[in-house]
Amino acid sequence: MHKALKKWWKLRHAKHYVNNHWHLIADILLLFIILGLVASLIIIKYSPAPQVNIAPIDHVVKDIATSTIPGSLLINSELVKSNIYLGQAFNLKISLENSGNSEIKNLQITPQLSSSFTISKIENVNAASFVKVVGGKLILENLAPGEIQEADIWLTIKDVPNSARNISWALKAKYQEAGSDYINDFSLKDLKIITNLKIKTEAYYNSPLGDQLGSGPVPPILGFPTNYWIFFEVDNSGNDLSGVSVNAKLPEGITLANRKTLSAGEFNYDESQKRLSWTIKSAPLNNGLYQVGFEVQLMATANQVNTNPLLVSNISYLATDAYTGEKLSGSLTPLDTSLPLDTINRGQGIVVK
Amino acid sequence: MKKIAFILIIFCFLIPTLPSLASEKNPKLVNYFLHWSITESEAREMAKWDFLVLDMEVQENSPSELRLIRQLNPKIKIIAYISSQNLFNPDFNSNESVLRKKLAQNIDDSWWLRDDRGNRLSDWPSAYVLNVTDSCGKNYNGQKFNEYLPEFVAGNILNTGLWDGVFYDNVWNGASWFNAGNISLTNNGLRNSGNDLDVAWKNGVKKILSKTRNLLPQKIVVANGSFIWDYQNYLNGWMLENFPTPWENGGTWTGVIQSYLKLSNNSQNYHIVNASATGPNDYVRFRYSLASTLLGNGYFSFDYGPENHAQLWWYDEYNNDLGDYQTDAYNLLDKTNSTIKPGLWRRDYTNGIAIVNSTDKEQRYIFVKEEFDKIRGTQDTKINNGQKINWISVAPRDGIILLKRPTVIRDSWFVNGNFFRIFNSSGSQIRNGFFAYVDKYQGSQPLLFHDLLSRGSEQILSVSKGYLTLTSAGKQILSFRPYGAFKGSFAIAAGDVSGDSREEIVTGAGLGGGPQVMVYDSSGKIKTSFFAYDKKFRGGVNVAVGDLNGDGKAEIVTGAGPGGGPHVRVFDSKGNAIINFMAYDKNFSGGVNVAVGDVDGDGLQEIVTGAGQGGGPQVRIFNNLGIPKTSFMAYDLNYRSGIFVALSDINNDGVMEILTGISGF
Repeated sequence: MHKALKKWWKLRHAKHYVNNHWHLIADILLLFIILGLVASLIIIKYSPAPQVNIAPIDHVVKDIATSTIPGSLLINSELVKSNIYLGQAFNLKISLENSGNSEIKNLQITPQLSSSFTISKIENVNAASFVKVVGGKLILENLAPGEIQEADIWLTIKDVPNSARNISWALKAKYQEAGSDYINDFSLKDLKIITNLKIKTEAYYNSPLGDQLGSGPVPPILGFPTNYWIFFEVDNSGNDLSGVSVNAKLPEGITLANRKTLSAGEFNYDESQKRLSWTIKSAPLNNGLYQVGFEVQLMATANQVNTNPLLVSNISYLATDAYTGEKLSGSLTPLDTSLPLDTINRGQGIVVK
Repeated sequence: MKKIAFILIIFCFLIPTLPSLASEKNPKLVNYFLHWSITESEAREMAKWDFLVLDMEVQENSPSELRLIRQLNPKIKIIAYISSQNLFNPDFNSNESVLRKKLAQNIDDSWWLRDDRGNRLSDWPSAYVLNVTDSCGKNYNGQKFNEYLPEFVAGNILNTGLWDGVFYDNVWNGASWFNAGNISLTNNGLRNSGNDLDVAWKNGVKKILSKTRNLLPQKIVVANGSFIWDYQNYLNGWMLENFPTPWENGGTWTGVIQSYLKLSNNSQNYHIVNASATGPNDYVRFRYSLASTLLGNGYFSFDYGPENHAQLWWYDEYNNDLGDYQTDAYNLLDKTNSTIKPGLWRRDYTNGIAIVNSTDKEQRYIFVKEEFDKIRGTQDTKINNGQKINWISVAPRDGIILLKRPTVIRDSWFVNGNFFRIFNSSGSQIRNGFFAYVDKYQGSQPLLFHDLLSRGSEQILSVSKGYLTLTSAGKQILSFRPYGAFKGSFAIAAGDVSGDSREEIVTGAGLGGGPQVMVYDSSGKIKTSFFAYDKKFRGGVNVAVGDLNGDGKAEIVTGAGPGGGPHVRVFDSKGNAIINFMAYDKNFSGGVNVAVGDVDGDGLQEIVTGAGQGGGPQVRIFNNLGIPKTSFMAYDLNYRSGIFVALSDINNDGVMEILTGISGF
């Protein structure tokens, strides 16, 4: 190597440098440029990476936020569930760290959503002392160099356009550090909106349009049968459903009559257990009505005199949101002979002798 | 040859097993109308009955009215009334007495029944009794009265072609009870013994009946009087007058019903229960006797009774055909005991039940798993109030007709599970609404119950996931996709579009499909197809089928689905539009549902429409040319969810009812 360089120098000196010194100067400059470039590449490659604090999260969907604009604020966020209900508060845990050597001042953090979404509420439920919620913004105390603070905040998204089921969003942080203003965006994991499912349960003697559905005396008379119609309806907007089932029990003194109507699904009754179930394998949106109606008969007994006997009890439902995968379930209020939705017969359910 | 014989034998065995659509009408009504002439308006009213007993003089005094009745009701049976053993003074009401005078002209003086003093005997004002026995003398033709009378009937009445038979009144089973037994059959001044009187009288009556049967073997012969089984061999029916007939089997309800059921179980089937009333509003007596009649297979008649058999009273109960009987009568108070006794008796029919309380006290009965509609009447609205019931209270010696609740719609397609109201063409709700739901099919499936194959039993066309399936007696006999890959729903109708006496299946693509109408034969082979509206339209097309112009071919009526205007079009079998009109305001775009049928009984088909979603609940009825006839609101004016229309003869009166369907209730 040394010999080769020496030979190259002699040849170069004899041919160019002796005749013109500018050749020598040009080669030296070229050599420095090459060395500088090599050094830069080495520095870039081996310089330390930006610091990221990953909090130990063992049960939740985690989102890592990093600044996009230079500054010392680091934000870790933790979205407890990315499937959310419209109108229901959901929890966002955030961790703030000053990674620099100067104090971070006047820190404000604002959730950013696309313009068509609105956030109805931001609530600092766990009340970390350094966070205040003012006008939809989180206002924080100053962060000293190296200081880490954590906060639980609760947000509620009220409105989205009809078709939107997915929300992209970010946290916008605005602060001052060492006399400079910084604005950093910390992107967050997308939110999925859980379908808005209600199971309507209704009891009627006359339909809302006035048709006689039931039969027998109203108010019910001891020793006489009165037949009522019970309706369950899937009232769903948002996402398709699968595996819908509504289960209920017929109380003592109530029997299932033979008449029913179904717009979808299957209806089964286990007479020995007095349990009934209505199941729908798949319930796509905008695919018509999902309703079952069935007739029950009350044969009022002596101990039901002066009461509104129950017609259906232990009503519960299960369903899966086909988009979010969320399992939905709930229990519903039993139905009795008071028939609050029956404009003709409501309040006439008390059994008389 | 053996094979053919074998097939024929199998076929003969199979025929009776097929459920029949040609059900017997019940109640069967007879009008026992004994005026000697009838007016045209009376004739028009009488045409509503199934069976008429009219005085023989009507053939002379009102022959055109008789013909009018048959023209209005080709199925009606009309028989001529004549007394078997007495004769009015022929001068009585002489202007109208033609046949009686003729009959009297040939009455031999020896034929009058006389007592031991030779006095003619009378059993009715202005009428004298004739001697039906062989003990009387002969006329100039060498005939006794019991020979003369059948010949008079055959030669002067039944020969006119105006009658289906004869009704012999005053048929006695003996004569010893009459005139305290003071009868001299030979007019020799000596009374006959009671036994001699009865035996001779029975034999004489049998001669009349026997000869009538011989002379008129194919005609209906019905008698009224005192019943004995010996007479039945010659008769097609017996009348129990003034129910419970005082002179029959003790005159009690139990006794008379025993006789009636014994009679009506006989194959001869023109037995009549005639009940008498204090007036047309004697509803309790009416229901009691009607429901009692329905315990057997006879005909029912209701009037003032023996003093005045000539009424045109029509009752709410008559407007509902109960169809074929399904059970014998059974006592709800003692179900395992078939002995006729006072009780709460019930008999089931295809479309309803008859209940009669023959006890002396009110009876209540709870239907454990059943529900019925009371008739929605205009007369005794306290009883026939149209309510849906699950228990009943029946007053002593009263009865009631209850209607079974419909569960499906026949001859017009419907969406399984929808709720339907039932209207007549005037827009009156005639029954309680119901959920049209068939358990073995999925909810929301389009279904059509119809005798597509003219087998005398209905088949079921169903739509699911783009497939159209034809099922007969529980077996799938055809399944295909009328629209290829299109998996959406579609409308279905059936009718003889091509005029080949076989019905075709007509479909209209549903929402999401083009407005394509397909016509298939019953084997699923395409016969024709066309676009009812612009090809690019994707709101679907509703279809109905009916012979609007009476040319023997059914036309296809279409209604545009949602998104189009309320266009209704009528196409011939080749898909040529022959009528086009707007069913609603031209700016309405919620779609229009269509149905076709005779909803007002005028013999012509009407087009009935219902507005789709967003429209009001207005049902419109157009004539066969698309010109508006009438309309009504099926729901509250503010209802805007759209109404489906279907036509079906719910009460089996031959006129289609209009059914308006909504999703949900």
